[in-house]
Amino acid sequence: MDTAGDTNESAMVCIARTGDKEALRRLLQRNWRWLRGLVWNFLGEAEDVDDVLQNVCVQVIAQIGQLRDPERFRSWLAVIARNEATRSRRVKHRGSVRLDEQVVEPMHEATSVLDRLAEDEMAAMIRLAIGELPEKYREAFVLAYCDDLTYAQMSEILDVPVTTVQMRLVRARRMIHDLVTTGRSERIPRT
Amino acid sequence: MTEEMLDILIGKFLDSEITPDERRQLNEELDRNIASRRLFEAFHRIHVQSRAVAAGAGLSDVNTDDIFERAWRKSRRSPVRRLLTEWRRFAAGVAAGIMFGVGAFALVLRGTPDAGPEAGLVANADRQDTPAIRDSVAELDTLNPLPGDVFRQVDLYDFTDESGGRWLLEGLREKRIRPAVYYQDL
Repeated sequence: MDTAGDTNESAMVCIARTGDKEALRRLLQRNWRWLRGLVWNFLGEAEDVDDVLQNVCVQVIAQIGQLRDPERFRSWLAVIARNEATRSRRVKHRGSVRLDEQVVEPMHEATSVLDRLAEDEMAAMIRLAIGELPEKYREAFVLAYCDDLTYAQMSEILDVPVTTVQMRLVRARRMIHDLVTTGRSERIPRT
Repeated sequence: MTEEMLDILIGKFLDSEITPDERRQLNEELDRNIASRRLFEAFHRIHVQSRAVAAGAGLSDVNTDDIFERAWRKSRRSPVRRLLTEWRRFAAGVAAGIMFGVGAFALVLRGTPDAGPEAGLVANADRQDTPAIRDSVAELDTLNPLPGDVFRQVDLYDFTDESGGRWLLEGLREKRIRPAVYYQDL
């Protein structure tokens, strides 16, 4: 875990609590990628994500003074983001997230047309599989792939032990693998 | 190696969390087991494609700074409303304080014992700094010793009722008393 970075972040939180605009901006920028991933995981639509992120910023600006423990900034931020995303989803009366409906450009590292088609198909299947994951596995999975976070940082954000993060990722990968290769997963946990 | 262990090691490798010892174990497993190697390749493919899928979460025409600036303006837009909110909080605090004070005062007024002398206003109840009072305080200190630097900040009065019963009274504030403690021989 980036201890020096976290120390700086805690210091920045202390400054931000005084209402310092620049510190607030830097704090949010620093956590923007995973924050975006977390909200996107809930909503699944980029336009809504921007609106929710703006509301998250408003909440952070308004409530940062009440944050007692700067060390817990990320988990605090994640709670605000989840609440705002849930509220937005409820307002729009949407069902569960459909990541499989997202239009995402697949990576085109393959050279031939056939390879590209295979890659496209694979990407589509993975999108479907991610959408099928139970909420907490999908959350961990999306978080892991939205930003270059360590297990420790993810555990901080999700407020669960490091081993839990690790096991959620392992199980999420296994479920995606089974869904992609066999079309169904025998191991999707009920919770 | 069990399938779950292999899943964990591959996952840690893909997430750059693998230790040198775990990497050695994984390499050994991949070298000797073709099924493990296929699983590794499949997981790696999923890993690469998942990055592309998740990258969709980062796609937006709106700049981070723009979103922050809008939020900043929004949170600063209504100083009057903010001021009102702060005043409401202040007023609520004052009201709560007053209610608490009135409640506490009412409790003091009702603080009457079942038997013994009536608590209430005592006309000209100046401190009765007599030997009897000092003895009562000393006895109370003996029965309920206080830690080193703590002093009793109450006035204690020795009172004898009509039947000869003796009472120790605690002076709460100027011109108010209530029974404080009753002891077997006091």
